[in-house]
This record gives sequence, C-alpha cells and structure tokens, in this order.
Amino acid sequence: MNKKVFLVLCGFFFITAWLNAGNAQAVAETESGKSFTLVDEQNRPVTQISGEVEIGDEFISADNYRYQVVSMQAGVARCVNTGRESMPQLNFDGVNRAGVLAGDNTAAATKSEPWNNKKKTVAIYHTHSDESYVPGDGRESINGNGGIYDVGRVLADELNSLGVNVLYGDSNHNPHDANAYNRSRKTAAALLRKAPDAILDVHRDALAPEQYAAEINGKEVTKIKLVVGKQNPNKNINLDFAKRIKAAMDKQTPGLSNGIFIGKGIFNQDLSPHSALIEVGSHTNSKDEAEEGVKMFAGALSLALGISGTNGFDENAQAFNSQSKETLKTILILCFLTIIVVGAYILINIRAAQK
Amino acid sequence: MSDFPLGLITLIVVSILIYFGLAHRVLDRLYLSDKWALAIIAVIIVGSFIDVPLGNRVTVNLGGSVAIGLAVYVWIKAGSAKEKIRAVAAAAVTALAIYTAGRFMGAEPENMFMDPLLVYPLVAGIVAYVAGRSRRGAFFAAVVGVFAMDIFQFFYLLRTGLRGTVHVGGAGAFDALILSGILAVVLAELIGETRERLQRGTQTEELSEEQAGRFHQSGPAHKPMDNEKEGWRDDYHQKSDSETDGGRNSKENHEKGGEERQQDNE
Repeated sequence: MNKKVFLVLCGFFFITAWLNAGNAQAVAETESGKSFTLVDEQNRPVTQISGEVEIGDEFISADNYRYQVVSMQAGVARCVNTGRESMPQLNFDGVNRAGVLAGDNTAAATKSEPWNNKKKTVAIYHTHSDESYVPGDGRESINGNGGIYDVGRVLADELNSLGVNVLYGDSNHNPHDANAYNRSRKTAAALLRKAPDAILDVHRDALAPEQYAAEINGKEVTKIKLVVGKQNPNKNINLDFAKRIKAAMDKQTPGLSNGIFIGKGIFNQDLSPHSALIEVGSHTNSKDEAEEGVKMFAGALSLALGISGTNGFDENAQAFNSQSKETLKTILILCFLTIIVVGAYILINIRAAQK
Repeated sequence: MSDFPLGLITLIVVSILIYFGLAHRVLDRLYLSDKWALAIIAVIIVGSFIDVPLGNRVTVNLGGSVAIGLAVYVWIKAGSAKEKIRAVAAAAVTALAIYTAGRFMGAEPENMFMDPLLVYPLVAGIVAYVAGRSRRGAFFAAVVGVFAMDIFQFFYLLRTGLRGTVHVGGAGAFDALILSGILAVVLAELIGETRERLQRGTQTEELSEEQAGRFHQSGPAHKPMDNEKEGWRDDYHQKSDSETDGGRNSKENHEKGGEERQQDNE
C-alpha cells in the first residue's frame, strides 16, 4: 500500500515536471503591463516602478531625495519625502589624491592604473536571460539569449578598456520566473569564488521609454536605475555601495542615474557587500541607447571602485568612512539578533528544564 | 575583494560564523554527533569549491549537494515506513508549492510577498511539520523540494533545447539547498517548541499530584545515544519520555516503539 502511494506521488511529480517544462516560458515575460507611479505629498510624480511596490518601499531620486511609500491605490503609490539623502562626496583632484594614497605627492593617476596599483575585478551576470529591447532585438523577450547579453558584453568591454578585469557569467537562467534568482545564485556564487571587488546583475526594466531616455554629452542614452533588496541582511552595506555608484554617476555623467529603488527581495545581494542590481533602460528603449548608457556607467563604476579613470578619485577615504559606519551597524545588528535568538532559545530550555 | 576594508572583512567573517553556528545546531537536530556535524560543515566548505560535471547538462557542486546526501541519510533513518511516506509526500507538496509560487506569483521577487529564497524553507517547514510533526521531515522536504527545482530545470532545458546547465548545489554552502534545509529545521523547531510548551502546560494541569511530581523531577540533560536515534519524530517526544523518569529509562521508552508514541501524540 505504502509502496503504491510512493509510486503514485513520484509519477505525479515527474509528469508535472515534464508537462510544465514546455509551458514555463508562457509566464516568462508578462511584466510589461503593470507599473506603479510613485507620487509625493503634492501628487507630483517621483518615478515609475514596474511590477508591484508595497508600503515601506523606498526610493532615492536622481536629485537625492528619499521617498517612502505610505499608501497605494490603483497603480499610484503615495510617498512621503523623508528628506535629502546623505551621499558620499567625491571630488576630482586625481593627481593629489593618488599622491596621498601612494605616499608620494608626485604620483599621477593614469587611465589604466588604479590609484592603489591593484587591478580591480568586476563580475557581471544576468538573472533574466531573455530580457531584450524591442527597438534593436525586435521583441522584448528572447528565450535564453536576450539582448541583455549584448549590453552586458559592452559593459564588460568598456570596463576592460578602463583597466578593470571582468568575469562575465553568461549562463542561461530561464525560464523567467521567480525561481530564476535561485538559478542565478549559483552563477553569482561561482563568480564570487574568484574574489571580484564587485558583482553586478544586469537587467532591463519594463516601462515606457520616457522613463529612461536621456541625452548626455550629445548622445542618446538610457538612464540606469540601481535596485537594492531590503530582505537582504547586507541591505545597509549594499545600499551604501549603490549610493557610491550613484554619487560617481552624478559627478562624472550627470543625468545618467535614474535613482535607487529599495524594494522587496534579496536579489542574491546577501552573497556580497559589493553586489548591485542595475536596470539598463527599458524594453521600449533601443538597445543602442542602452549600450551607450552602460558605457558611461562603466566609467562611473570604475570611479566608485577607486579606479582613477579619466579623473582622479578624491575623497575616497570619506566614502570608505561612510561604508565603515554601515558595516559596523550591520555587524552590531547581526550580533544583537544572534544574542536575542540564542538567549530566547536558552531561556525556553531553562524553563523547560525547571518544569 | 582583497582591498575590502577591515570592517567589511569582519562583517563577512561574523556572518559566516553565525551561519555555520546555526548549521551546526541544525545538524545536531538531525541526530549527528558533534564530530560528524563539524566534519560535514568542513566538507560543505571545502566542497563548495569543487564542481563535478555530469554530462553536458548537469554539474554537481560537492559542498551544496551535501544537503541531498544528508536528506537521504535522514530519510533512511526514519523510524517507520509511514514516516518515510509522509516525508516523501511533504517533499512532493513542497516542490509543487514552490514551483506553483514561482510560476504564478510573478517573475520578480518584488512581486511576491517575500523572496523565493525565504519561501522555500517556509513552505517546507510548515508542510513537513503538518505532515509529520518532524524537524527532520522538514529538512528532507526542504532539500528535496528545492532539488526538484533543479529537476524541473533539467527537463525544461531538454524539452526546449535551450543552452544551459543545471548546477546542483552550485552556490555551495550558500546554495538554496542548504539554506532551505537549515531554515526549515529552525522553523519546525520553533513550531515544535511552541507547541510542546502549550501541550506540556495542559498535560501538567491534568496530571495527578504524584504524576506531576515525577514530571517536574528534572533529569540529567543528555544527548540521545546512538541507539536512541532511530526514530525521526520530534525530539520533544523523546524529551518528554526521558524527563518523566529522570532520563533513566529512555532506552526502554524508545523501544516502546516510534509508532506507539506517534499514535499517542496524534
């Protein structure tokens, strides 16, 4: 009898697996319809977010104001402006900065040499392997080999040209469902074994083109939005890293940043304190513009990582100080939670023993 | 990463210590001795750096896939055929629940009420505990449920012919297989401990004075011996047994049979 039940369950499981395997792509790209408009207290639009938002989600706007969602109704998320966000201060006195860090005031930063003379490494992968750009790829989703890979390769090439080592993970993580992050976690972990200085999950968004279109230095580009998962224990550190990247974007290529969204999810950011998820334009923007946008982003990223690039990276120490504070905060929270949990566990067991 | 400031390195070290400390507690709940628990943690850490390709479509990470081996061990050590069936049923339900959640609850984590990485152990912990009131059942259900996602992915790649490889346990120590197994046991432990407290309170009120006196008599805390570790029902059944007689006759109580205890508590 038990054997029969076991066989029936196994049979049911494998039949379901097989049947669902062919249909999984049906749910792959249903994202291009739903979006929320975040508005401030005066009903002025702040930004749009594709998919769902929830009360408590936060957004740091391109002009560095922080908003928190307090209510939602029919595609509109009402926010309160919680004030101007403190951002890392970056200046452009490359020669002096390089000298200070090297202990030699005559040292000059060059394009291909990081200020600390150690080559940095950046890992890149794509959780959603099908994401594509309608203008350029012809459709918004190409199963297992989307246009997002072209954008990722352009980013990798540009970083290489700036003297950065790049680890590029081109694994396919389709179908595009909620379990894709479980599959991409393995790619991210494999890349992290090679000890990169930062790891990027490169996506494209699913909004109207005007949400990302921009013209910078005479070039049509797409803006870039950073996303931080708030269910991630490294949230504060990852947010600090995202803020450094945004500050670098604002300094080097003003207008490129489309803000930082802090929403539900982990996005594998628990694996590294220097993990970031970026949205490079939307499926309605052209792939060429996305590639131009990501080229500019490469310069900002190298700046945020302390690589001199075309400009020096001053006040790096200040950015690190800010990061140290967040790190210390996270360590204290982790220790505090551990003490609480262990304490509660011991207390329960002592009471049980006394009984 | 070598340029990470000291604070970040400290954070990583602290996180890893807490994580493996928790893992050690969970392995203890799976009736492994301290030495075996440490050995398994060592294998997970070292194995995380070793990938073994199995054909064109499958790669197995030794560290991450330790969880599958442990799940099989726990299943084999189950006290009765009934428990084994319950565990398999819980794993099947978990697998389908995870798959369905992934398919219908949106493609983005922000569209779900919580990240899939947290949904896996939550589903497994609850389903396995409801099915068999067992922490070890929760571990089996979580690990096999998540492993089923890899099987789904394998079929998906075969059927669609797309490029790609299934990396079983690919994230090593931080793979969903291990994370889910650990968190599912912790969740089942929380449910079990809470339920045990409530149940004991009621039982104590109903006991006669003599029985209550014996119940309150504390016995020496001890870890189950090897010959006590047969059944994989909740620890609290065994704890209750041992505490009522001061732990002196725990072996006899065990020999009373897992099935009988199971009926007592249903």
